[in-house]
Amino acid sequence: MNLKGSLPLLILYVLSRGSSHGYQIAKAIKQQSEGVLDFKEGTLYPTLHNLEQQGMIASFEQEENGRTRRYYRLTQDGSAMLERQLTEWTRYTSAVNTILKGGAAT
Amino acid sequence: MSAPLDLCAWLRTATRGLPRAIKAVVYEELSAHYQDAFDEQRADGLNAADAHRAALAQLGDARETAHALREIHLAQRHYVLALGASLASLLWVVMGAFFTSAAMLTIVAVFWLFVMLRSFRRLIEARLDAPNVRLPIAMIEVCTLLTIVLAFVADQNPIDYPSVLVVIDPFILPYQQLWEQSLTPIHILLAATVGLIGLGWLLLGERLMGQDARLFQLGTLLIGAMTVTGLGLIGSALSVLLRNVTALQTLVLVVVIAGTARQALFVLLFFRAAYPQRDRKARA
Repeated sequence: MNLKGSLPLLILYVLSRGSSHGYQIAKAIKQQSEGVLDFKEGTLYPTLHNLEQQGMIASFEQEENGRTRRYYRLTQDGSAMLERQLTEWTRYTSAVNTILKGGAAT
Repeated sequence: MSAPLDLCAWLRTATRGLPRAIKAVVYEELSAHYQDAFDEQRADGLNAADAHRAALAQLGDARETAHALREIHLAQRHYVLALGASLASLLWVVMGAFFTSAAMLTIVAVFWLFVMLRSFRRLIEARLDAPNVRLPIAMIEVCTLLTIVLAFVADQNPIDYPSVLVVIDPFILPYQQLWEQSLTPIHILLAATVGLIGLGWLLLGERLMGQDARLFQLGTLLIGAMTVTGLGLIGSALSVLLRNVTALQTLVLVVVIAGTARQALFVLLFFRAAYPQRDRKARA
């Protein structure tokens, strides 16, 4: 499934539940979608860095098992963006569902 | 021994072309990701070679990652260049009122305008949900060049003209000389190209509607300045064709004010794009 358009929304949503590093974010998206949303994990980082440049998320370093990890957290602007995108997404899917249900009935 | 070498090659490819400081951060981040994936595959029972292959496969195509990373990180350089170009254009607008520039300076002013527009397109494509701004930007660029060529053919001294007008008000003022000449087809074409530049700005403003927040809270102001400039340019081209000197003089003033405001907003926009960290701290 092509995730390109919805990946920023999914990242913001995962981070709304707590700070995570890239691997945790990728794993959360894959696990919670039960494997439906599969993607090459290298492509996650350009999206993360883009969101950081836009001020939607912020990064910080943290030691973990002797390794320095880069964690990401949601910013205030990111929370507001997530709220807006969730509203848009709900409206969009509901409109598509309405059409598909209508199409199925006819 | 082959596994670490493969990983190094993958990381080198994925980080190729990035600025040194960013490359180090990304290299470390992707290495850690690989290590997590590798550890998990090992915990699932794979041997080291298979776990390595699976972890690399999970990361995907290194060239695709490199391309996307360069798009993000090298864009900053373009924004810094665009900041310089828009700042120079703005200074030119202020200074240009006092000078009649040389040919080279007019060419430089056109170059600044193009750098600014290209970077603006890049910024729009990176930040927004891909509104199509290629057409209006191409209209502004092509018609600006056409205006210069036509004005030259029409002997309006386009090259030896204050280049401030190349940036904000492409050759409206030379039209005032038309009062002493008959309206030739070249002059009509000249009015048409200036009108099309105006239409380009109008369209560009229209395509950015509702994007204020994603343009560093400057979207509404930019749309306003672009719309007024666009309407002013279209109106002034019509005034030339209708030979209404009062309307032309008023519209020239409107375009100069709106165009200067637009350039000032571009400076602010590219500053915020080039230095997002500083901008965030300032807002905090």
